[in-house]
Amino acid sequence: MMTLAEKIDRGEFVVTAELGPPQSSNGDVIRRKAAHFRRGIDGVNITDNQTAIVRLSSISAAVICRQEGLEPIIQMTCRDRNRIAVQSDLLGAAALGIGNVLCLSGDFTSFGNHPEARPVFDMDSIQLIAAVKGMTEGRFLSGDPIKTPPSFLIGGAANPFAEPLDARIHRLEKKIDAGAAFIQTQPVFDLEYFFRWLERVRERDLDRRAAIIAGVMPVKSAAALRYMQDNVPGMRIHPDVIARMEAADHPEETGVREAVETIRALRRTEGIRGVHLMPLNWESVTPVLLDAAGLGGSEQKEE
Amino acid sequence: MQKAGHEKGKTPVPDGIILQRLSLLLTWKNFIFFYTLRVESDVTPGLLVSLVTVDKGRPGRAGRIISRILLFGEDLIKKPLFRCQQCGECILSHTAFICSQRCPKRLRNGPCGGTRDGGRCEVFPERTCVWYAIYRRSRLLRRGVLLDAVEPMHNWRLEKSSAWFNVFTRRIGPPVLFLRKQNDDDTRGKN
Ligand code: SF4
Repeated sequence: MMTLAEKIDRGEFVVTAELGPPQSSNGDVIRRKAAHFRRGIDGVNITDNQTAIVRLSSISAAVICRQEGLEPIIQMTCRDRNRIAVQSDLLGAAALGIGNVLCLSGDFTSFGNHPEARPVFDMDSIQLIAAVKGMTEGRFLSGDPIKTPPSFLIGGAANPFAEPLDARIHRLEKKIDAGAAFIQTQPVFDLEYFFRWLERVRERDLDRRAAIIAGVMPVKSAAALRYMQDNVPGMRIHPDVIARMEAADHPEETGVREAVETIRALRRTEGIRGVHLMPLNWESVTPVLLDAAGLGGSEQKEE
Repeated sequence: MQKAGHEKGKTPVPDGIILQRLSLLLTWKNFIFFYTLRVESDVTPGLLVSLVTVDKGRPGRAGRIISRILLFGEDLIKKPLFRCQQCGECILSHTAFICSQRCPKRLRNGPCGGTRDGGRCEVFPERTCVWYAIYRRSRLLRRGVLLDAVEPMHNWRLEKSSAWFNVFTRRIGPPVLFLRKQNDDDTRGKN
């Protein structure tokens, strides 16, 4: 079984998927969700208290995923940890066998269920990427050496749909300079706009220096799309997509078809090295999606 | 799920264009302050720095008094002009004279992924994203190259201290006031 890092190294098309830990101490929820990701998925992103709602911790969920034979990518946000906690958690994650980390700024605390909490933001995502990179090279942020440095495949996020576009490209470049090996994007619902962004990325040769993994989100209904458009900052949804979902008799099927078409279009595109599936609470659709898109690989081996 | 500070369907009020122009004008005033500061720190480092020796990152008694006086003056100018947040590690000159520390996440390296349509802040939709404004004005003032460098992590020991004092004592670099000609053409002008 090849690891995510090896696959990215070889330039193969990778598929990652997102798994949200539960708001409880029930590890079986993770196992149940993980069961849908056994085939064809190269890495499972474990969200870190997404939208600032308290959930089972990302690293613990990643360990459960590893027990299930999946390769986890932990997400690490700057919202809840200062630089001491970040480094300590990373050392712990490495000791538990976790080899991938996606560095994010994180949703602001006011979006979650503890809006009164103190937002930390001791560093931003670029500085976090640089910090992780430094740690893999055997340096703490203080400059002290690490005896056994952790080894991580470092990822960053990009939002091709938020304004202003030049700041997006600029920041992406900074992230790659800082050491990001792969970049996962926000879900694509507007291919035209996405390709415009990608063109700018290619202009600066960024797609060669890091693997761009485009987000794809299957949705169940037009209402869900509209909700996201109104409530998720920095989301861009093409009006045609909403119209098609609205007109559909079986919105779920149409949702899958839309996602499959997006995957196909992305796969044909130069500069896209993989897709990142975000089936929010709809994990069971993943195998269907992969089969329809012709990406359903072989069963992952148990470790 | 609770949503503090987010009312659905609320249309954001655009910033007053006059205020924007005004603040742009006023920044020139601040140039002078920065400039005198820079000259002084270049010409008389011996006297001033010896007066305010920084021992293990902490200024001595004289230093603390000078720092307090400077901070008072700095606040008088930078608070009304830039809504300075007293980070003590001023990067105003890198960010086209818009204080980046007004960002709720206090990002120092560009906008987060949540900027809304029309450059609204993710956290407070009624505000303009400061980084959106910074990129826009950097283009206007042709100071885009200054955004290239990755700002290091904020030194929280300098929080609530005088940035001018910190420039004197060489704890932070001096502001970049004028760019040399060849740096002027920056490629990120086209959106
Ligand atoms: S000292 Fe810090 S907070 Fe104050 S204006 Fe400068 S950058 Fe902004």
